[in-house]
Amino acid sequence: MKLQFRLPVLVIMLFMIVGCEEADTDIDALEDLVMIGAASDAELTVEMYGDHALQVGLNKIYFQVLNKATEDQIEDILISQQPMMQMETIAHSCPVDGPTDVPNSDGLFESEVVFIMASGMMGSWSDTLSIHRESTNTHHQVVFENLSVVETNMKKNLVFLDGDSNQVIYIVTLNGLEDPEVGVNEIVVTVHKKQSMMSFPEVSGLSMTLDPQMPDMGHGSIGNIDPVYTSAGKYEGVVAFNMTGYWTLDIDVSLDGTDLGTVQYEFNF
Amino acid sequence: MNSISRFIILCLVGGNLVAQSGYVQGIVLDGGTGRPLTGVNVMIQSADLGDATDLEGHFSIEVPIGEYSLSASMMGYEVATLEISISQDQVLAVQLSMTPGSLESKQMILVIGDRFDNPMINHLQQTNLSTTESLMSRIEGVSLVTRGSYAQDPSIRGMSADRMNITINGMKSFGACTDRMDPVTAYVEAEALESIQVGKGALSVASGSTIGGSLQLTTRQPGYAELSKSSWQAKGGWNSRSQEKKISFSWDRKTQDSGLLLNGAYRKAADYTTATNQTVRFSGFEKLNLNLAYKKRLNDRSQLLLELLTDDAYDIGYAALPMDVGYARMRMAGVSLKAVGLSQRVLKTEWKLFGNLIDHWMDDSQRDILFMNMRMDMPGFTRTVGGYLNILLSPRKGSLLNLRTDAYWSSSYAEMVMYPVNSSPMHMVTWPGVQRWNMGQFMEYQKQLSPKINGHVSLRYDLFNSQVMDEMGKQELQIFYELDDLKRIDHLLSGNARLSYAISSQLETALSLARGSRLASVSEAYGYYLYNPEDGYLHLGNPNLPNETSIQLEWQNSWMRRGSRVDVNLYVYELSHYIFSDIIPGESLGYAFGWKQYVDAGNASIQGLEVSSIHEVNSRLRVQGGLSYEEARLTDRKDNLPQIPPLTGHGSLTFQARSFWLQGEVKGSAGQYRVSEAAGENPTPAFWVMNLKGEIDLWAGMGLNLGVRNLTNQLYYEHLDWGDIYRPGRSYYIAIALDDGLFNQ
Repeated sequence: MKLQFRLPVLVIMLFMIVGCEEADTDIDALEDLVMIGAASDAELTVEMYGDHALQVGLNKIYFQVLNKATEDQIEDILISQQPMMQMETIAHSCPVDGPTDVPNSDGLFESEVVFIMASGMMGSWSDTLSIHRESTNTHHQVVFENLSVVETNMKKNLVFLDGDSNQVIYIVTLNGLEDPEVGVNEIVVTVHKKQSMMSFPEVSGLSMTLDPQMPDMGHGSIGNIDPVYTSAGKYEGVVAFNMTGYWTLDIDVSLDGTDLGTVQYEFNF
Repeated sequence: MNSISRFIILCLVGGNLVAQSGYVQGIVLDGGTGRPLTGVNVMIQSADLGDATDLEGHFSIEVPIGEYSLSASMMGYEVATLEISISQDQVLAVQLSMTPGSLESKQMILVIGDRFDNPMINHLQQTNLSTTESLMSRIEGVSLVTRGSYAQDPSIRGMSADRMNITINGMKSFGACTDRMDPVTAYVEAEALESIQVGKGALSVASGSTIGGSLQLTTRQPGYAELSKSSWQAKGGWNSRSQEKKISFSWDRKTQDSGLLLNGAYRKAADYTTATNQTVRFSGFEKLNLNLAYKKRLNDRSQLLLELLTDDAYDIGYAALPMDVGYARMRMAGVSLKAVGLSQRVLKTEWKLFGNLIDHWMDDSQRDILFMNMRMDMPGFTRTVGGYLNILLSPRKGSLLNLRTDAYWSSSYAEMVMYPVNSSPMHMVTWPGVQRWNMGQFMEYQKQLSPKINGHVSLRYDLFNSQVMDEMGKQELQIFYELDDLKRIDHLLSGNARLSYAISSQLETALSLARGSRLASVSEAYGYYLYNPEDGYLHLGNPNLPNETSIQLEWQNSWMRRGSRVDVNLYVYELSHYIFSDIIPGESLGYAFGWKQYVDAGNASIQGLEVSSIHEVNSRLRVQGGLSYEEARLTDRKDNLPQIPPLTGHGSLTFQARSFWLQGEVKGSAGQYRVSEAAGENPTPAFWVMNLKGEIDLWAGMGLNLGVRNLTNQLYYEHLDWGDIYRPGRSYYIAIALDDGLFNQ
């Protein structure tokens, strides 16, 4: 057979081999994620993945639950989680949305956690997962200890008095500007109310105005899009930086026409 | 000069020795059609002698014995030169065949020699301190946009830089300054120039699609000589107002089949003062221009030309801008192969390859008052390589066909860094590494339809591929434009048709219709954060701009008689998709009024009139004058177009004697009150100025140039001057020119 006939066959075979190899490995999606840790009880092993290492602000987290013995993926479960910051005298949690009841197409349970402080000298973060497995009707508890959460300076408190003159604290985080770039930066602002040390309900219905400023130039930028509520305390918008240098970003927050205050961020790049 | 002086000395000494002369007579023919050419200017530069050909193409010049270079020039033809040697009482019969350089309607200034241009077209007295810009501005319809006392930006009928096509010896190059501080014309010194050809509007599209017109600068080329010889010239001059010193030199070596030419000029000027003795700070500069050309005859039909052009300027002040230029550097190289008379049908072929680099560094290191209270740097770079192939054919007697294929690649990058005192540097890309590919096909055909009627058509197609290569620059533009890649592909079609009719032997009329088109320039399509001090806005490019197009109607009339010529041109342009910068609503930025974005501003129209005349009263006295006026409207906005010259006129009287000449010149403009509101223009008052200049041959090989500019010390500025900065007051200048005649007595 001449090469010109053999070549397509060879190419197809090569693709098949490559394809088979990929199928043999773990789930493709995990390759794009960062493994944060693994924890297990007697029967289950849970692996925690993130889009990036855990940091102050919004973190998308993925849980993969495996049978400890066979390492088979288990999907018929319901998970709830409780992140906890343990400090010397007090402990507190943070805003959490998830995990989802139904796993995604890769069998991963997705969750969003807004860490409101970094781990370190002050204390450390843990995440406790309560898992109910339907097929065996068993309960499991898996604890991730000493989670490392990196400081980003992207969490601010918005403090104001409500109509009854009670102090209200909104926890605001800015996400997407950890590594700002000249041009368009897509941002997600999260707002949660600090109701107690353990309860942080989302805040919806807010209006936000972005005002990036360059103090050395005495002006702001154009091309910004004010964040708009999407889901679970998240507001999505766009910040445009026209050049590198020192920038401030004011996010003015209001509710039904009442100005609640402004949080300010600084960038130097 | 050399020979005249010698001639004068001989007269003084020997009286009758005047009879030591001979004659050169001959005929000038069109190399393409073989028919005699009328009105060709045949000159012997070095002896200040000349004649124009008669109806049968004949001329006759009486010349003192010696060796000369005889040159023939005429609009639309390449200059033909011939080295001749005249012995006593000899009648030398010669035949000069002129190759059509371009069939298009162009105006041309020849700056060969010191005194003469082609008097049938335009008259010019070049002096030592003449600049390339001042030479261009002698052509009716050409004006200069001024931002300092250096590197003015030429404008044809109010259409400048981006609407124009500028080539140097046929080579494309692009200025590297986002603020247009370096039009490429700034990189050629007047001393190095042989000719400037100006094509108005789309009447000249050979070298590229255009709307405003074309400017073709040609530098001096080396020549051949029957007997090998070397010659040199040197000049030095000084101007009182700006303390400008200029030294230039030229050296050449001619042999039977090769020629080498080296020339250069050095200029250094301090800040000038106005008529009221106010110093205009940041108007000085320093500049060195060097050019080398080598020509080699390969056989009797073809020749090879190598050329290297360089220009280095330092510390160029820009009074009208908040920044100056640290340096501007140009390097240009070309190699071409030209063959003529290959067969009866193929008259000429030429191919050329070229490349150039321009580096431009704007800074404010000389300023004590800083724009926005911080230092900034704005470097810019352009790189261009390209080539073309030109073939001139004569399909049948009386017709000419010119075919041209050309291509170039260019890359433009510019950035800006600002350094606040106690904070991080601020960096942005202002030209995002724009790469452009252009491929063009051009064709023109000329046919003599009857003895009195000539027809001409030309057509050009251009393909452009533009891409943005710099990531940060791309991201900056993506703030405003939701385009993944900022690539664009454009097709441009332009052309013209012209019919000329010789009403009588003295009167000719021509009607032309042209369609022009142009691509948005790098700044217009991709510029970012370009501050324009004239309107006080930051300008933003727009990658979605459509191509600007024009329809141009032109009626040219010329009346000529031996020694006199009057030209009257009437023109109308209707432009569509006129590219104009529009305010983006938003707050003032303090140092700027805000942002402007280039947009398609709809239709615009330009109409005007140009009159030029020259009259030789007798062999010694020549009167010349010109007038131009135009109106330009941004029709859809009910506004005027910006940077439109007002009614402008000039006149001069030249007295020519054997060993000296003297010229008085008046020029002036009416006020310009038809200003562009959208561009934030101010009206400009009327002005007039007078200049006086002359040259005297002191000795063989030594001449003296003297002159006074702005004789009456008028305080004025022109409408196209940025920042309304007054022009220099009365200034005197002196220059001494030497050549090898000094030692060859």
